[in-house]
Amino acid sequence: MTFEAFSIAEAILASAISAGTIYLIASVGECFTERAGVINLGLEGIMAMGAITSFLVTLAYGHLVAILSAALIGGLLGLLHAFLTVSLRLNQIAVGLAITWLGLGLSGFMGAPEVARDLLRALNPNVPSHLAELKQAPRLPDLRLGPLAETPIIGRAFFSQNVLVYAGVALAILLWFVLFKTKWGLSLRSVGENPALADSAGVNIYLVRYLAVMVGSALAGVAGAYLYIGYQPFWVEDLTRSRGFIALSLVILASWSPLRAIAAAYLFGGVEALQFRIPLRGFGAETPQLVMMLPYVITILTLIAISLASRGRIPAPAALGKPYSREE
Amino acid sequence: MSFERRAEIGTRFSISVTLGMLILAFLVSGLIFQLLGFSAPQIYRSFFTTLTSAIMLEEVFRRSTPIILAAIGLCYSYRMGFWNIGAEGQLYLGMIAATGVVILQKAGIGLGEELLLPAVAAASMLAGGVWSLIPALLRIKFGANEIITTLMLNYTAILLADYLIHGPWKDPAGYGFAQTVAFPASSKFMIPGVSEAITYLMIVGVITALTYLVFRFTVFGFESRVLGLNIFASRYAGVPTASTLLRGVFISGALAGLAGLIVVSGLIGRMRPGASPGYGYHAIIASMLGGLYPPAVFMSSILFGMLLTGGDLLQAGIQMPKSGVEIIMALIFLATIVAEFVKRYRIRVLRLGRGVVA
Repeated sequence: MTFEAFSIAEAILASAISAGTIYLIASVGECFTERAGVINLGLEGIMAMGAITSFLVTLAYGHLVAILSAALIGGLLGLLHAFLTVSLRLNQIAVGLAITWLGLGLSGFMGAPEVARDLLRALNPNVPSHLAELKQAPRLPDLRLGPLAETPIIGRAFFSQNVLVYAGVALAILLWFVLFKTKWGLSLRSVGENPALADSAGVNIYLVRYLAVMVGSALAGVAGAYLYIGYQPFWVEDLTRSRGFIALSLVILASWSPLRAIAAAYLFGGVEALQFRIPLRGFGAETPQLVMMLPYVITILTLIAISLASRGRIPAPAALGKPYSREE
Repeated sequence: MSFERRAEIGTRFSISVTLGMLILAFLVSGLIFQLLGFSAPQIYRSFFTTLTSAIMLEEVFRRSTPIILAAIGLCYSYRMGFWNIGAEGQLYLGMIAATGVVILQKAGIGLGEELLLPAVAAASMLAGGVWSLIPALLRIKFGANEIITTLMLNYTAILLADYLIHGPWKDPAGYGFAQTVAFPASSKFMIPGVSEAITYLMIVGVITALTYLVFRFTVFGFESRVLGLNIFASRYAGVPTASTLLRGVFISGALAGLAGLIVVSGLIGRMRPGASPGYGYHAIIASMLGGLYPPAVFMSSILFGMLLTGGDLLQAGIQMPKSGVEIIMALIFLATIVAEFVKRYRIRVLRLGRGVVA
């Protein structure tokens, strides 16, 4: 391989992992939520709210507070979702879409220069509020893991990224462990498979589902924060561009396993990386729109492939999407 | 208590619940705007201003037209429990097909000037319909979740439109602007002596009435109603047969495509980036707010036309960001869903009360 080929491979791999982390954090959280039997179509809007929160709070108080605030906002939207779907037993699809549209509308509104300026002033009067009008915030710094970062080709991708990239992998492993190796995880999965049985075994269905939705939503908020401060620190309307919905289909691709979600997410990170690489090689340099269709078209093709590979027997949690009540 | 009597009370009750929740949605949005530094009373006033002059009303009707068409179309999907979120993409396909026909006509390849209107109408409806068949077939053949596929196809359609506008279909005489050639007068819906807005209202009125009759009197309407009258119910009564599903979804797409034609031929006159501010999404909420009942869907869509027109006034007047209207619409959708709960809950209280009396 020539030096040029090496450096291209290195750059593509690094940006695949970087973009893949957006999907990873969101889909790992959604694996957790869906294992408890609740589907959260609000992911897209929660990500958008996480992104706008991280933009404004980073300017006001820095990265750490920003990530925590995005998780908090996500968790609160999850609480709303859980109240409507678990307690009121409303249709999960409808509630999820409503939260998505609310999040997209609110984040678009809050990101408009004049509103962002006022919000930043309210958050921290000591920061010059015109900073919000520039739509930019400092990016999360890269953490180089010693000499490993110098490894050819994979060094940049795996050992020289920001803290949320590493956290994404750690979260996937942690949630996999909780789901499949702890008693608590067993209860959570039983709520998603057979809530009546879990109920008779003394599991608090409502508590488990509330927690599962709130954890998943908090992570979607963090995914949005990563999207902004870790990946593309410039605010534009529709920053999320359906990535929340793509993350939802990655949960199917990962067959509801946080570990397999790592591979699925990085695969789609690769698609996103290519989307920016192909125009550089000449195709679609003037009109990149056809190349930009890639993630959407590939998502559809992925759903077809999953169906063909599983011969129509997709291993979804049996009670996914169904509200639970004792008397019915 | 007899069945009819309960149904009658149910209808009146359900309308008042929906209206009550609608008011609540407006109050909550006012609160949010107030918190974000805008004057809620001023915002409410702007929405009412849209009803106070003939010019404003014309604009409200113009903006409502694509929403009504797409929303009435969506009723055909939703009555079968098919969560079609793809009206926006189907609308864009309608714009693309219509623009293609106009470009061909200007190049001298076409059916002639007098047949241009039927040609663009047929092309836009066919394109929207065929585009909507993709998610329906994916669901039938592969069990692919239509919410994800329709959303992905929306982005694909918008990007395809953007590609054409910036690339091969860019108007060479457009001073470098990203837009296509203008639609000629012969491609527009016009009734002599009647204004544009009233013309549109008559067209969508007829389509609404026809849909009402289809749902009420035909086998197709009966079949789709049996399958899932209420999309909020978690499980529908059955799985629609492939042909019923395809027919219903095709009609949805065709009407969204027609909405796209009206946007490019009438509302803005040519295809531009962002030609639709999200009419296809507004239509989803309008159809559900109207309970998939065509006359009510018509009224809900007019409310949304009012919101869009009022939103424009607010953007020009007090620099309120245009996504403000999206917040109101999302809250209206949330209110529609919660109204379902209020209705269900009420029914149970009634039963309990009857038990006590007896």
